[in-house]
Amino acid sequence: MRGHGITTRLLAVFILLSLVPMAGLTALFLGQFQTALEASTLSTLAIIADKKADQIAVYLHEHAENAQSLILLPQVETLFASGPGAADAARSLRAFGARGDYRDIVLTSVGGRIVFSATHPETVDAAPGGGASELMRGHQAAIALLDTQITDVRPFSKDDDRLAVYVVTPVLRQGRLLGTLALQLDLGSMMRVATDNTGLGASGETILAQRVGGEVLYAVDLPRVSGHAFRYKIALDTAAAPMRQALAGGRGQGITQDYAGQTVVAAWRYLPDPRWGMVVKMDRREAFRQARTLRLAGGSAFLLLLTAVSLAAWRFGRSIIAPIHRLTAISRTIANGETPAKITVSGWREAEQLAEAFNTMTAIQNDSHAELERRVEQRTRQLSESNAELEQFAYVASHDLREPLRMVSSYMALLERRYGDRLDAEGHEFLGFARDGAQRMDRLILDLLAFSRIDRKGAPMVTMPLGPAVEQAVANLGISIEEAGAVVTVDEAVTGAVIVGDSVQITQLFQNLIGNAVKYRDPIRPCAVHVGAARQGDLWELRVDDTGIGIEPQFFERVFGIFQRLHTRQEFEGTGIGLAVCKKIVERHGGRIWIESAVGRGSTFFLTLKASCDTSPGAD
Amino acid sequence: MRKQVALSLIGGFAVLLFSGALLGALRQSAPPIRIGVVYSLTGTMADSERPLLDAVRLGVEEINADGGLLGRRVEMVVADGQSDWPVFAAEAARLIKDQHVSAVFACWTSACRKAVKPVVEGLHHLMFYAVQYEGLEESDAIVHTGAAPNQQIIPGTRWTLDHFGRRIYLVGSDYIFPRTANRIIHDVAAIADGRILGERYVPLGSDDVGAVIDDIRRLHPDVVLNTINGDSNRPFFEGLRKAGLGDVPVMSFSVAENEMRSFGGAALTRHYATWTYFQSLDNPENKRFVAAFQARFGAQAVTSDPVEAIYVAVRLWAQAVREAGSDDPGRVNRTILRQSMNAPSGIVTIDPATRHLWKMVRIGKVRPDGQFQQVAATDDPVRPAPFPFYRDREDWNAITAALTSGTAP
Repeated sequence: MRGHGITTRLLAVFILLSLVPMAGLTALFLGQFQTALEASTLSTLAIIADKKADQIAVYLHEHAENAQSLILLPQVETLFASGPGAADAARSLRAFGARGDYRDIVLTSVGGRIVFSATHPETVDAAPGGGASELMRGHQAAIALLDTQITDVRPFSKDDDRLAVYVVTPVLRQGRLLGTLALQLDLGSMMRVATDNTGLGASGETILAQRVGGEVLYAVDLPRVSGHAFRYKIALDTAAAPMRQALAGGRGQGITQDYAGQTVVAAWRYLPDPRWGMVVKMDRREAFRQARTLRLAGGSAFLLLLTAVSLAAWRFGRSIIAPIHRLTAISRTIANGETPAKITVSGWREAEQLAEAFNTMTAIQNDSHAELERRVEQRTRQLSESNAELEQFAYVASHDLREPLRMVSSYMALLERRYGDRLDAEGHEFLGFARDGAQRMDRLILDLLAFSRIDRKGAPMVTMPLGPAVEQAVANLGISIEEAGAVVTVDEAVTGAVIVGDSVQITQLFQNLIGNAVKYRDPIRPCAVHVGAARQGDLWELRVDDTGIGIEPQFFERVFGIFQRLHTRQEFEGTGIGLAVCKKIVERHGGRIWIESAVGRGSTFFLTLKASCDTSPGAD
Repeated sequence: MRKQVALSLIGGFAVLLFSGALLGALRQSAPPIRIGVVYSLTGTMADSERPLLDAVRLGVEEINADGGLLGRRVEMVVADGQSDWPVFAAEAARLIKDQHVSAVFACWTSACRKAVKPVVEGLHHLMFYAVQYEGLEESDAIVHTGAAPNQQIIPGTRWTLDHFGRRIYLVGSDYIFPRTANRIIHDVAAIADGRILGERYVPLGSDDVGAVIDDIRRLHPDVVLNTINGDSNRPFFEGLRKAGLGDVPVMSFSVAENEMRSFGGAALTRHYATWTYFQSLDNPENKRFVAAFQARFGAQAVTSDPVEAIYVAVRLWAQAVREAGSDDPGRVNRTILRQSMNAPSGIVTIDPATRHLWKMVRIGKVRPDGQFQQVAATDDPVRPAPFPFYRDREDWNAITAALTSGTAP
């Protein structure tokens, strides 16, 4: 659920709810249409094929009946008898042949002798030649089966491509067989009807073929392979599947391949007379063009709808998320501490309500925020006023207090110089106490003055290297370090550190800390001071370790108080302002100072200072 | 979102499953297509007719193995005709009226067919008859897949006369088929200059063939044309052999492989038959058919012309049902007229004018094992002519009327 925007989700939901069902329905309808189109095309082809088969059968049957009627004519008997009137009989038969559009009428005796031929009288009485072999086969079959026979279809002759067929019927008189009568038909008109491809489109073809042994002899031209009728002959097993099926007595329709390997919609039939296979076919491309068009239209509509739905989802998503985006932007400005503008949203009622609620909320927040600001400002002003007053007071006090003190000191010195010889030892001692007191008072006032100046007279913060400041501090302490026999070591990290600060005060800070460590050294153990540094994000954490006397935990806070001392002046001299100054300097630099210590083992002062932005650890 | 996708998918699957279940239920609820099969399972014809029931069964089982017809199973409703023609007629009526069968496959003898014919015609139903017969009949309710006379009697007689001589002797059972067949043989003999030396009829089922044997011994015909039906053939064949006439050429028109084996037809040395089919035919369709038949009914099972013809009838009927898209007899009766197929006997085509099949005509010589060795055949299937064309229809009807009124069925 995480990570997807509203628009993405809307898009997915839109597509799922509208496009997926539509795609399914479209596919279903297209499939249905294709199936229906296939079925209707196949049924049309089947009807055409059956009609053609009927036409061929009816044509041949009519002529068979003509032959069966013709044999009843007395002229036929006369011709077989070769008796008187044969010439007249021949004339009337020839007339019949001419009117019936027959190429020839042939009478053959039982023994196979031709007794009459309407158009080829020269063949009479001659032994039938090779050209008449179909006729003789028909004659023999008609006698053997005592029924009308239709011979195989052949071209008239080598020079005449027109197709011809013999209808041969036995001639009987009073239960005696005289011979046969054969009508030679010109199949031109039948072939024109049979190969008429009306209703089959531009690619429609009607293929007719017969088996001759193991070969297929085509009875029509095959334009796709430039095959000529009755010349084009191929092996049966290389013929196209529908023609093979038809020649094997099969009947069917389907999508298959034609003689040229084209995918076609075809219907195939076996025609027992004249033993032909017939394939009525048209190219699948053409037959199913409508389906392809529809598929294309369906696809385009789907793409269009996909675009439209995506756009709609996107627009809809935008209109929902626009107010959300505006709210987000305004929330960011609030987060950045700026005062938000009032937002206006139009369109969605829910979005308007949300904006209104948001405006009310930000207004209330603005009011309370302003109140808070005002108070903080007021307090800060009060605080700085009192701070300034205090500092002014400290300065004035220390400055003005020194004046009478100087007077006390100078008159004490005058007193000693002028009346010193008149004073006894006790008098000198008292005088000494008074001078010490005045001097200590002066020190206190000077320290106080310095303390008050940390904030008032500090230099501006600059980027500065820490090393020189620490070195300066150590140098300033040179004598006391030497006297104490202390060893001060400084980490490399310290010398390399660059901070933001006031170098005078930083020197002061380290001078005080190292000086403190030397001052509160253990009388027995050797005094060692170490200054270290560690980078903590954008801060430097600095530490000053010593081997001194240590501090008890309950005084960890107190040592940073002004004029707070843990020891008598006799044990360790000093005014007790050093660590207070340190704390004040660190705080002015925005840092923190604290102690870890164990009595008798040493103390560690930690403090943090802002690292300069220019350097970062590891950046050489 | 994934939840939405999952929900949509689950919804889609549910719809699919539901429609699938619905379709399945519809398909399952589609009742089987029933066909009525009436043959004699008892009585004198039982031995001849039972193999026809087997052939129908094989055809039906093959159709069902291929997924049935129009998504429905085909179921046989079998009735016993008891070799009794009125029983056949009553059973056919019962199957059509009470069992609502879509087609009837019935009868061996012509007498039976003539008894059932008015029933199927009256009910405008569809019957398949698969035995070669005498012809001279046409019915809008019957499809003949057996040979018409011009596909058996005429060419068979013609061939016999041409091969063995013109002096012939006729013997047959005493009922309509042999008498009509012999009437046609008379015609053919006249046409071909044949001489009929004698003609004798034996009652159906009778063993009394003594007179016939005597005739043949006395007359010395060139060839005997035999139209005896049923088990009277056994004493006839035996009689010939015992009389030392085992070498006389015989052309049998009603003895197929099955009977040839059981009646001892192979004992005659010059025994021939005319059929459109022999079990011994060497073509892929027949090899498959014989193998399937023997796989189903045992290695000893024998196919024959009528067995093949009734099997072909079932297949053609199935094709017609598919094409009609219905098993309604009225609709199938139209589409059946356009069917053809590559049958074990060769290419068969229904001739719509006569409702008979275009068939090959074959002459076979009986081998010692009772099977036939084909010795002659037509080049192509022969158009069926139930009314041979050389007489007109009135002539034939007069002949039929005379024969039926004059003799017992």
